[in-house]
Amino acid sequence: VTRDLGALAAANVCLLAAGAGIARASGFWRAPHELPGVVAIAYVAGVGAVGILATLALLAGLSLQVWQVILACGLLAAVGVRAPREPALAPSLAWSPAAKRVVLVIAGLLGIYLASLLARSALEPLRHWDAWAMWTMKARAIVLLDGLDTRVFAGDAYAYAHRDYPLLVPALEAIDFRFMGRLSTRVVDVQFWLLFVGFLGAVAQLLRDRVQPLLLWPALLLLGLAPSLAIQLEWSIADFPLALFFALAAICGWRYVEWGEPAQLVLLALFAGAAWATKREGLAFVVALFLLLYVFAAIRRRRLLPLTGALGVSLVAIVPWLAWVKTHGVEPRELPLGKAIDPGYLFDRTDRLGPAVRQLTWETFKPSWWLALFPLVLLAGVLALRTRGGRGPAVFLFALLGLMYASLLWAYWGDVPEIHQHVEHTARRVVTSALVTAGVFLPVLTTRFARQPAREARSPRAGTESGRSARRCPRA
Amino acid sequence: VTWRVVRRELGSVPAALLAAGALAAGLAVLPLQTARALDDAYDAKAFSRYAAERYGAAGRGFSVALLDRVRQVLPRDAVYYLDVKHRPGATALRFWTRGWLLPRIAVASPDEADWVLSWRGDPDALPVELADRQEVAPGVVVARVAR
Repeated sequence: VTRDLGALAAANVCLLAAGAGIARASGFWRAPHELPGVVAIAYVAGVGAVGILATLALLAGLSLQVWQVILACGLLAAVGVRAPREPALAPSLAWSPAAKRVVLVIAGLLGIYLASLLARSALEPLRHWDAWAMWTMKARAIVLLDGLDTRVFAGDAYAYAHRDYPLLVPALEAIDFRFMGRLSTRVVDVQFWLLFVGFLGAVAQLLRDRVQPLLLWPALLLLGLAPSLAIQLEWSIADFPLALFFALAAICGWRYVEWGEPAQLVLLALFAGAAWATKREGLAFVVALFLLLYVFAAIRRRRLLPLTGALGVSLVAIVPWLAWVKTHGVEPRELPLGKAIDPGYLFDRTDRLGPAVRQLTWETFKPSWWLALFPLVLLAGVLALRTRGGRGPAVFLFALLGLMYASLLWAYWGDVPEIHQHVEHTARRVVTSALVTAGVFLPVLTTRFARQPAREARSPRAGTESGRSARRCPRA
Repeated sequence: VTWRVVRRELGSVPAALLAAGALAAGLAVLPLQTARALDDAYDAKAFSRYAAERYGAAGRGFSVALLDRVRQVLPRDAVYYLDVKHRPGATALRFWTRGWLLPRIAVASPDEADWVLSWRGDPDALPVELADRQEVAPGVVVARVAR
């Protein structure tokens, strides 16, 4: 186990280096002493970028050998040789010593919990059906057959493994196996654990200049301790990374429309692309996100061209894969798109809506899986709607969640399997992206009716639109 | 003390209440969640590498040890058809086998296969002629398709 963990750590150092290059080129850090302050952002960006590139490399006929991964990470790291003059993030909000003590205690407790999850991830065998039958099976196939062998990835005997699902998760696991030099499925959970820790850190680092730490860290504790995430971490399936990438894309997209920060578009493109390249549900979610971003950007008079650029870049992550799926005739059988937009077909199946709505609602509010997350987000949203500065993010979040749930409902409506069993088996997983997104917006909403403290000394964006809006003190 | 600090720093009772709610919900499950994770880790520590790699198939109604013997008989470049009858565990066996026997390639029809793995199936009922039959275990047969 120790040897495999070391190899997995080495692979992730490469991913971090790649992300650090992207983060520096985008202005998230400029001097080496600034890197620790954005290291989690850099890491998750690296996982997303290398995951996307790995998918494209497989389509191009490569086999994700260690030298190929190191070369790709090195090239991405080299992108950061030059950093822009303008920093991507405003200076952090100032903390009082008392607030710092409270936050340190919360962060310490969260750290202890994450350490216990690490112990579990490093030792537990792969047990979830979908993990060994589908996601990790594909990773094994990539390694053992040296790439994307159509006899497996388009083979009829493997139809059960959802051949149309994108390849980011199998590609990442294959990279880990390559670094290990063997197929050690036992420690592959640790890849998901690293992404989870990176995600929590990235949220903290992305919001530290906009959200009071006393609001941010309790929300992170709540999200981090949600039993659903611990369970899905153990499952090692793609719904989990999809939720993490999508929530980060939503935050970065929101930052662009709210404060007009162009550097956030780089991360938006990356995380949206990674969400697209992770699981099929990501398609509808990311489309909904960009739709809302366009509406809000137009309302707030943000430039639409850079947003279109981000959309275009993110499409690179999925269009080649969709073309491959089409070319090889492995489109999904469960939800035929032609039928799913046929009013006659849907009208005959309205009896599916009731069970789907009931189960989705239950899974969203289920306290044993999500604690008080959704009720708190609803409460924060309603309170934020009553404030001038809070109306925007509250409407944005509620509209986004509404579209995400509508897409899930539509999928259940048009889908083929018997609805009761289907929804009972899958609803708990498919709500994850919506709830994680809601969780990261909880402190964003709450900060709108809290006092905004001063910023730390450095104020490089003073005079810019971003700097001015950052210094506002919204109150209820 | 924490409440006073949060209330003073945030300058808003609703914001402080929401932060306190999130904190309380997280703290309420922290001991249980941590204990659960450590408990799982402790239990998992007992697994050998051999057992851990085969854990997904445990209790699914078939023996992975038998599949290991099949791996010794079936060539690595084999293109095989899995002949298994519908019975409890058959689906799990189908799914597990496809991953476990890689890089051997499974096909959906015996006509496309060079080899057949019959797992308590009926190899004589298949529409292909078989040669070099090897009975790995009672009812588990590996055979080459005669062309």
